[in-house]
Amino acid sequence: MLTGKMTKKSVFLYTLSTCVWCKKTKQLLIDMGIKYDYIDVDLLVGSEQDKVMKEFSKVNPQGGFPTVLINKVKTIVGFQPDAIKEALL
Amino acid sequence: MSVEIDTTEELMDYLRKNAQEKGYYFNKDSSFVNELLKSLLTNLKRYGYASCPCRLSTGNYDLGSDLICPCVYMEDDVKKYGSCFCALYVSKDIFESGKLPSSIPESRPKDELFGINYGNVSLKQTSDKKWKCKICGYEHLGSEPPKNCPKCGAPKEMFKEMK
Repeated sequence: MLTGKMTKKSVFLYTLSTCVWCKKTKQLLIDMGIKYDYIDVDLLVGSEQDKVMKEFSKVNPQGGFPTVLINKVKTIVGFQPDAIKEALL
Repeated sequence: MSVEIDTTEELMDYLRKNAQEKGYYFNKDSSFVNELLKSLLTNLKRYGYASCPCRLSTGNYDLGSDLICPCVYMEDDVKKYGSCFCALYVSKDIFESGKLPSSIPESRPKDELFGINYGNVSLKQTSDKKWKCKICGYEHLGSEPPKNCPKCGAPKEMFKEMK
């Protein structure tokens, strides 16, 4: 169920392919009908991974997966259904 | 005798024995636990050790041995938050109440989070030797084998160099 309000926000996820909280976060967004882009950082190799981790450390200096980046500014770290719903619904 | 871990069942047997000895409790949500076991097996095959699936591994044993499941932060996290970072392990209270654990903050010191020296690490790795535990099949990268096998506790002498 998509609404105009929901699709206006950009949602980007930094995730690990092995992390169950990351999978739950992706599933929650799917259930909410929210479009998102993501990158599974553990599947990147060498300089590609370095590049993304450098960018990631600026986005979320504390680190941690999943990190949900909303509108390129707001971050939600970990599987936080209430915070995600509040930010996106 | 060599005990290789090739399936999630074998990995679970190993972790369960360890949990029984140490009095740890697993998350009661079996599908959640199965997902984590699959991921741990992925990491075991990918890095040569069962690195925490919820954290990024550098693949370098010396930089990441604190993350071998159960990680060194597990016991304190379970005490403090009721579960470990991945929620594979939970406290007795959570286990008995059947409550669902939630995502918790990272307890690993921040400087180690990213393993930023990737360049150096991969250079170092090329001069590293590969060692294999004759007891459990655990593989270790480094100039020397570990003092004790982090998986089965076997002494250094039980490691042979792989070529």
